Amino acid sequence: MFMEHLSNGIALGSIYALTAIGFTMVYGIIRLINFAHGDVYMIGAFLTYTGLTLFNMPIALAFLFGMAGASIFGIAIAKFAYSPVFKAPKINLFLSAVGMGIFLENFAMLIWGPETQSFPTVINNKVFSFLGIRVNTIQLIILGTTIVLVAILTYIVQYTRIGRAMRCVSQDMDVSRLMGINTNKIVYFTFGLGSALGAAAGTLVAIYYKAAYPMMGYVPGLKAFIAAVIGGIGSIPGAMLGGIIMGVSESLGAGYISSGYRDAIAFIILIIILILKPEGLLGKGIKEKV
Amino acid sequence: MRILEAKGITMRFGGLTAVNNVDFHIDKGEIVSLIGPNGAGKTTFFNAITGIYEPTAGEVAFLGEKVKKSKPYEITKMGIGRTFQNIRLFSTMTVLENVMVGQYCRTSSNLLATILKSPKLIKEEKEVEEKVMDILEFLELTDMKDEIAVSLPYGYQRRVEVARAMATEPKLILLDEPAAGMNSGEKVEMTNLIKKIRDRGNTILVIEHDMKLVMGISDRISVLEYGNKIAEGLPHEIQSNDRVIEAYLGKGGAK
Amino acid sequence: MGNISKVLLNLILYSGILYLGIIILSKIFDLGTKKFMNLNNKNRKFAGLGFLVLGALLPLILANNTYALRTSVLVLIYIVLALSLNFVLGFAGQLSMGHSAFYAVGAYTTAILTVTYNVPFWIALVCSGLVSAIFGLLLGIPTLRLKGDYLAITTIGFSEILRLVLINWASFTRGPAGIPGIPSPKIFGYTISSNTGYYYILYVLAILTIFISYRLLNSRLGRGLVAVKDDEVAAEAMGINPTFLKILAFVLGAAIAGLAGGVFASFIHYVNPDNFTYMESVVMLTMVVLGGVGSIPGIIVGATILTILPEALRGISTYRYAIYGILLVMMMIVRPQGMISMSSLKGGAKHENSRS
Repeated sequence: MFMEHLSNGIALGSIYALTAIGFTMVYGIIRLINFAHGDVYMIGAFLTYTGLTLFNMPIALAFLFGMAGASIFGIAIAKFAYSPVFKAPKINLFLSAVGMGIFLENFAMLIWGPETQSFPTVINNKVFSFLGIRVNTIQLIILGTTIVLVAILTYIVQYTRIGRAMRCVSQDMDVSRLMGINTNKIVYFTFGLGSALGAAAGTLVAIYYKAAYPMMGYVPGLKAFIAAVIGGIGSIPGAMLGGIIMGVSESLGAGYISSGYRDAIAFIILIIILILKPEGLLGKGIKEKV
Repeated sequence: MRILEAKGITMRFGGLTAVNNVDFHIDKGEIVSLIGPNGAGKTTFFNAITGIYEPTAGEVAFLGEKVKKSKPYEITKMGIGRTFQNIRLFSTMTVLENVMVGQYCRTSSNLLATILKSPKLIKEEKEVEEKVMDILEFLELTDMKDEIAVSLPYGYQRRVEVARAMATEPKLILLDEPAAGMNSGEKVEMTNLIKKIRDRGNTILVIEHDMKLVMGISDRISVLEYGNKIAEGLPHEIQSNDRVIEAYLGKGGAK
Repeated sequence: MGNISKVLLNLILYSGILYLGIIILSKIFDLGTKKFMNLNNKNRKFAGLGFLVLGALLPLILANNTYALRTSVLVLIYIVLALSLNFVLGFAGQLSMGHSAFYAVGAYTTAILTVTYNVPFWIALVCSGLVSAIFGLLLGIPTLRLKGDYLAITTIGFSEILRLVLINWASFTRGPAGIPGIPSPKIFGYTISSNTGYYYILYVLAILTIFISYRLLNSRLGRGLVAVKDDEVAAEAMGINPTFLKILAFVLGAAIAGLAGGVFASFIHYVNPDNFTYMESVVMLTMVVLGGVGSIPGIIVGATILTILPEALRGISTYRYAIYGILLVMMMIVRPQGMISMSSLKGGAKHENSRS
């Protein structure tokens, strides 16, 4: 039983990690808890669903279609809902994100209907026994996809010109602008990249549970944020670590303590972490200088 | 009367010694300045003597009592009022309200009294208003009492900050770089203002870069460099002190 | 998926209407505020009294319109809730996104006490306020050290945990099925079960909340709170203990939300965990922001508009919350200071310089 919870937790954790990376990247650049991120994840899942059912795409193509579509959504949101309020007090930006989240959830209800859509079976699920650990194909695919996507992301952030610019902007937006970086472009690029990862996570979840529904992003969105906080917000490896910790503890908690409180586990971890170590596991503290 | 006496203050952060064995005192009615180049440890020293930091070594007595590590609001309550080098006024409040906030720690009405508007509260509010109006009058701010404080010209904003610090009824007023960002006319006004406040019986500690301002107002000056006190004395003594000139202008500056 | 063009067309249409509505309302409220600020003190009091009388007479005016009266009751509940959140957000400047938790605690306290333990309504209502206040204290102590975003997410966390407890602790809360049969209050032997009766109970509660808000605003504690909101570091240097004041605001807001919850439970005679979701917290927050953070008349306006609007949108109920979302985003862009902003009430002070 323990091993089953563990492998389930790791699969779940990779999904949280993918979502959390998008969160953490956006936070790193514009210090916004992007409340709509979880809903972009949902939009991604629905776009893939549409690709599969309406356009009869093969799964790999539909997956990319979902990611690309969600990326466009992410950029559009940043452009129309966030960038006009960048300069306003923080609460305005935050509420704009909250409003955007509510809009996306209800937009999805209008387009795809409020009921749960059963996601087509795209993968022939088999159970393997490996050194006494039982895992299934979907779990392996989730883990594999996550690793590949994170590797690509790490390459972009660490070794490309635009990645370097992203790191600059996240340290100091004003100075970056003075150094000739087109910060607007970087902000949109970050939103696009983060949304694509979110969409990948959403699609993987939809495949895993064979379901997509308009509210599917709300709770994972919050949990991804928590994962990002646990790992230290703004840190990509931190988001990975946070995601895995969350997935595993949630899976074990639901298995051994109570499944009714499954969603509470994340919040309890969050509260404990924020009270004990507010800067997160891998984060750096920011203190106001007087 | 001795307001504050610090003996052998040392402040270490890990391996770094920010303040090293510094003695310091200030008597009632004095204007004492603490000067030194950037990074000399002025602010750290100030934080150590007021209890924001606990000194690694040394002891501080304020009004004869030992200073313990405390929160900023406890320090204000104890009797040390301060201004900030980068002005920090309450941005949504009028001048009057800003200064009234200074009286917070000298009043005590609670939530119930507030809601019921008890006689005690009415009396207290009246006293607050009188005291605050008195301070505003003294600092020539009465005319602009209903303006939003941050909409005033820079020099007046500083004045409101000073008024706010005075409203906390301090035994010692700390002015943290009061002339920062001011033009020469405003600096002259500031100099006169500081003297005027002292003449009202206040004790003032000034942390400042601007030599001219410091020389004009101080009864005594202490100079810090790399956490060490390198000189202490009357303004003209400091002015001609070789080590001070060296610290400020570099080796070549000392003839 | 087939209806996509129709949906998009509708959304664009509604957005346009919404935009115009915001612009027109802004103009109206700007004008009204200006007119009001030009009145002398005596006339201002007159105007205030006029609104008070109008509020008291409203049930007589609407006597034959049950639907409108019921909506008015809801408006009052939300006025109380939004003003209670304003203690936390407007006075202390703390972004609490779990305010529905206190509303829930209040509602469940009244529900459980009256239904399970047969406690008279009025005693149960007082308990609702007290229990919510205690919750506010318990949640406030650990969370209010956190700032901004972290506080927001932690308060969401607490309210979600509470909702899960309400769902899972079935032996006490009856779980997802909720608690039906919550009795109406009795006063001097008469049972108050009509909308009019509830209207007056809530009217008194609303007046009380407005009264407390104003008393606080013009007091030592109120100034302390606003100081903490404007600049916590400077406030501390003025001898203010910010944590104490934040907790005070949190507890006061929680207690009043709890009272609103208690009356609400009795009004609809039935509570279940779905009444108190995160969305409910967002609704309260939106009311405060739409009206103007910290501005008491603004919040009354915000609560009124946002309670009536969804009712008015019943005809296009599928679009209701999508429009709500657009409204929130649009407000932030077009009129971030709210309909009747705090600064316009201070005699049109120059633009506030915000530190964020």
